[in-house]
Amino acid sequence: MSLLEIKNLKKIYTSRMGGNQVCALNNVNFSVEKGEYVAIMGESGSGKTTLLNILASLDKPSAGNVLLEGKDITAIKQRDICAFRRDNMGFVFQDFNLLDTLSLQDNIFLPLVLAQVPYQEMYNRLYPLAQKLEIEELLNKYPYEVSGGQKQRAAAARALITQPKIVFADEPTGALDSRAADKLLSLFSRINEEGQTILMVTHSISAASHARRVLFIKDGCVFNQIYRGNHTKEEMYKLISDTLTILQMGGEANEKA
Amino acid sequence: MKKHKLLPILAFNGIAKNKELYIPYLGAGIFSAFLYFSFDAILRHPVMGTIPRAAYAYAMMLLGFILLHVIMLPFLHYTYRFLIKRRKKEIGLYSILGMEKRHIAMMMVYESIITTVVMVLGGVLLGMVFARLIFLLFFYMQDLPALNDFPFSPGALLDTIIFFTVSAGLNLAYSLYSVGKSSPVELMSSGRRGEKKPRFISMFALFGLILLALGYGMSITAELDSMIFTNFFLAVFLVVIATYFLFTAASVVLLSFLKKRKSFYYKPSNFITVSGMYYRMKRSAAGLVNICVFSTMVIITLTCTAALYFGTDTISSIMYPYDAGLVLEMKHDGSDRQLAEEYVRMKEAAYGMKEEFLYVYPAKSGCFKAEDTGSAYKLGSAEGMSRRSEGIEYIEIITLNEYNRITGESRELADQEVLLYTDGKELNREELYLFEKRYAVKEELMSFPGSFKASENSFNNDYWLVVKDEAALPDQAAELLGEESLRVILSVEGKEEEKEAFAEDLCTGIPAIEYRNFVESELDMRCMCGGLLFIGIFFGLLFTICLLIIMYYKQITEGYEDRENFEIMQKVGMSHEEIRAAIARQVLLVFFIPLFGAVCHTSAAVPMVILLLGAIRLHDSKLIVACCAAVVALFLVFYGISYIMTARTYMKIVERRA
Repeated sequence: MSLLEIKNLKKIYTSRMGGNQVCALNNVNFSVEKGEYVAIMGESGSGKTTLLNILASLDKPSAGNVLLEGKDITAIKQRDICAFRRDNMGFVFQDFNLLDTLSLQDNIFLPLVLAQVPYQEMYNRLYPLAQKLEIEELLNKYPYEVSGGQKQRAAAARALITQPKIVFADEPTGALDSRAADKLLSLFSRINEEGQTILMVTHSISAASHARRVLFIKDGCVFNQIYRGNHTKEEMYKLISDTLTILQMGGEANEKA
Repeated sequence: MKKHKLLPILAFNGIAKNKELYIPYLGAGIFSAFLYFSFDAILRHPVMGTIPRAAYAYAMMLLGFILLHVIMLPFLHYTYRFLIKRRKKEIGLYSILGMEKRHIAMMMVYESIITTVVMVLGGVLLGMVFARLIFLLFFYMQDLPALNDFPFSPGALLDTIIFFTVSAGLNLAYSLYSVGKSSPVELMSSGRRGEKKPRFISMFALFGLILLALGYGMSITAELDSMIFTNFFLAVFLVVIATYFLFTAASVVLLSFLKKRKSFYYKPSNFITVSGMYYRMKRSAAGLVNICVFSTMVIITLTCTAALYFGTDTISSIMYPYDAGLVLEMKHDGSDRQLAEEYVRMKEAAYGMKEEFLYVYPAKSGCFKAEDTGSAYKLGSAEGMSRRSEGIEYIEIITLNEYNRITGESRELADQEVLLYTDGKELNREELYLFEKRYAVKEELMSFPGSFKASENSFNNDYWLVVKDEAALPDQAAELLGEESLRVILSVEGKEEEKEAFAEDLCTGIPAIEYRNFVESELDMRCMCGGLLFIGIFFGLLFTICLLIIMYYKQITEGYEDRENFEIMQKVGMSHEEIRAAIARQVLLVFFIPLFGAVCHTSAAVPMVILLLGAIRLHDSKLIVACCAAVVALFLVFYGISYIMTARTYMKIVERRA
C-alpha cells in the first residue's frame, strides 16, 4: 500500500456570480510511497497550490479521494481535521508562517503544545532536530531577529517535530536567496535519507532537482514524471529543464493550433 | 480624475472602508461634542445670570467645564492614535503607488475635516435635541425653578467648533509628523517588531510600590483638615503613576515567571495568551493601566455622586441644624426672654409659619485654647488668636437651671461637675479644666437643643458646657466669656420663599448682637450639592464612555494584530474550539486584571472619600460605604456586559477569514 494515494482528484472553482467554472484540477492520479521525496512542478496557475491544499486537508476536492495510509482524508469530519493534520502532517510554507509573538523554540513547539505533549518530551525531541537543522543557537530568538533561511529552517523544524507521516512543502525556497535555498534543500535531502517522506511543490528547477521524483502538472493534469534513479543532481537539473521546455513548447503549440 | 477631486474621495473612502475603526471614533467624538456643547450652552444660558443662587451653579459648572477640556483633549488624541496606527499600512501603500507626501498630507487634512464636521454636527444636533432634558435635569438637581425656554446658543456652537478644530489640528499635526518621518516601507510593516523587555524592572516595581504605599497611606491616614482636597488630588496622582509602574513591572515579572513555568506555559490556551502578552508587554500594560484608572474614576465619581444624592439632607442637618438664630442683649430683669418669644411668635404668625422648635436661653460663649492630654480636656486663654485657628474651640456655657428648663429634664450637678456636649466626635474625657479649675465630666451628652450630632465629625466642632451656676466658673473664665446674652434658636415649616422672607424679617427686625439666617444658607447649600450632583452624573457618564471606547479599541487593535497569528495556528492544526478557548482566556485577563486593580484602588480610596465628603459636611461613613458597594456591584455588571460584547467583536475579527 502506498503512503499517499490520490485518485481521480478534481477541483472546480465557480466564480462568485455562478457564471464561469474554472477547472483547477482535472482527474489527478498519483501515489507517494513511504520514504519518497517527490517534487511537483508546474507553472503559475497550473494547479500546484490547489493540489497541495487538498492534500493537506486545507481545502476540499470537488471529486476524487486522497488516501493517507488507506484512510480517506476527504471524508474526515471538520472537527477532527485539525487534530488529524497536526498528528500526521507537517507543513513548510513559502512565507514561513512563523508567529511573531513566539521565539523560534516556541514556534517549533506549537504543534506539540496543541497536541498537549508533555514539556520533557517536547524538549527531548527538539534538541536533535535543532542540531540537524543548525538552529540550536537561535532557539531563543524571535522571528524578526533572524534571517529568512533561518526562519525557514525553524519552520522545517516545526513541521518535523511532530514526526509526521509526510511533510508538505509549498515553495519552501521561494523567499530565500540561493545560498539559503541550497542549504535548506540539502537539509531536506538528508532528512529524506533518514526516512522522512516529503512532498514539495515548487517551480524552481534547482529545488526540484533535489527530489527523487518530479511530477509535472499542467492545466490541472499530471503531465509527466521523471525518476532521478542514479542521475546526479546536475543531470537531473538538465532533465527537468528539458521537460519544462517541452511542456512550455507544447503549451505554445497548443495555443497556436 | 483630477487631483482636487481625487483626494477628498480617497479621504472619504478611507473612512468608509475602515468602518469598524471610524464608527467608534466618530461616536466618541460626537458624544464629546454633545457634552461640550450642552455644557457650554448651559453656561451661556441667560438665566444663569438672573436666577437666585445661580452663582454657585455657575462656579460649579465653570469648574466642570475646565475639567472637561483637560479630560477630552487627551482622550480624543488617544482614540485618534489608534486610528492612525491602523491606517499607516494603507498610507504606506499610497506612498508606494506614487502619491507624494504633500498629497497624503492633503488627504489626511480632508479626512480630519470630514471627521471634525461629523463630530461637531452630530454633537450639536444631539445637543439641540437633548438640551432641554439636560437643562431640566440641571435645574431639578439644584432645586431651581423649571424653565421652558431653551434658546439655541450660537456662542456655544462657536466654542464647540473652535475646541474640536483645535483638537483635530493637534491630532493632525501628530499624524503628519509621524507619517512624514517614516519611509513607505516602515509604514507598511509597522508593528511587526516585538517590544524589548524593559530594563530596570526591579526599579519600576520598587518605585511603583513606594508610590502606591504613599498614595494608599495618604488615604488611610488622612485627616479632615483644610488640606484634604490638595491631599486627595496628590494621592490620586501618586496612585495613577504607581499603577503605571506596577502594572508594567508586574506584567513583565508575572509573564516571565509564567513563561518559565513549563507545565503552565505549554498548555494550548495559556501558550497563545502569555506569549502574545509578553510580546507586547509595555503596550498591554499601558492599556491595562488606562482601563484600571478609568474604572476607578468611574467608581469614585459615582460613589461620591450617589452619597451626595442620598446625603444632602444629612449635610443640611449638620450644617444648619436650625433655621434662624439670634443673639440678643440681656436685660437681667427676666422680661427679655418672654419678649423674645413673643417677638418670634408674632413673626411666625405674620408669615403663617408652623413652629418646629423654639429655644430661648441665656448663655455665655467664647473661644478657648483647647488642649487634650488624653485623660483631661484643658481649656485656657486664647487671647490674640483668631477663632478658626488650630486648637481654638468655640465653647458655649449654660447653667444647669436653663438646661433643665429648655430640655424639660431634671438633672443635678455638684459645684465641681459639668455636663459636656459636642456636635462632633465625642471627647470621652473624665476631667475638664477651665483655666486651672478642675471639673469632673459627669456625663457627655449625646444631644443638645438646636444642635445636630454628627459623631464622625472631628473638624471644626463646637462644644457646650452645662455648669451648676455662674459661681461655679473661675474668675478668668468669667472675664473671657464676658456678659451673658440671650440665645434664640428656632426652626419652622413652610413654603420655601415665605420661609426665606420670614427668616430675613425675623433676623433684621430686632436689634441683635448677632444673627444667623440659615434658611438662605441652606438653599445655597442645596444648590451647591445639586450642582455637584449634576457634574458627578455628567462626569460619571463621560468616564464610562471613555472607558468603553478604550476597551473597545484595545481589543480591536489587538484583534487585527492577532488575526494573522490565529490563521497560522489554524494551518498548523489549531481547532476552532482551541482558538475560542485561547481568546476567552486572553480577553478575560485583559478585563479582569484592571478590574482587580480598580477594586483595590477604590477600597484604599474609601477613607479619603469619606473625609472628602466630610469636608462638605457629609459625616456619614455608613452611607458612603453602602453607596460605594452598590456602585461597585453595578459596575461589575456593566463591566461584565462590556466584556462579553468586546470578546464577541474580537472573535469576529480574528475568525473572519478562518
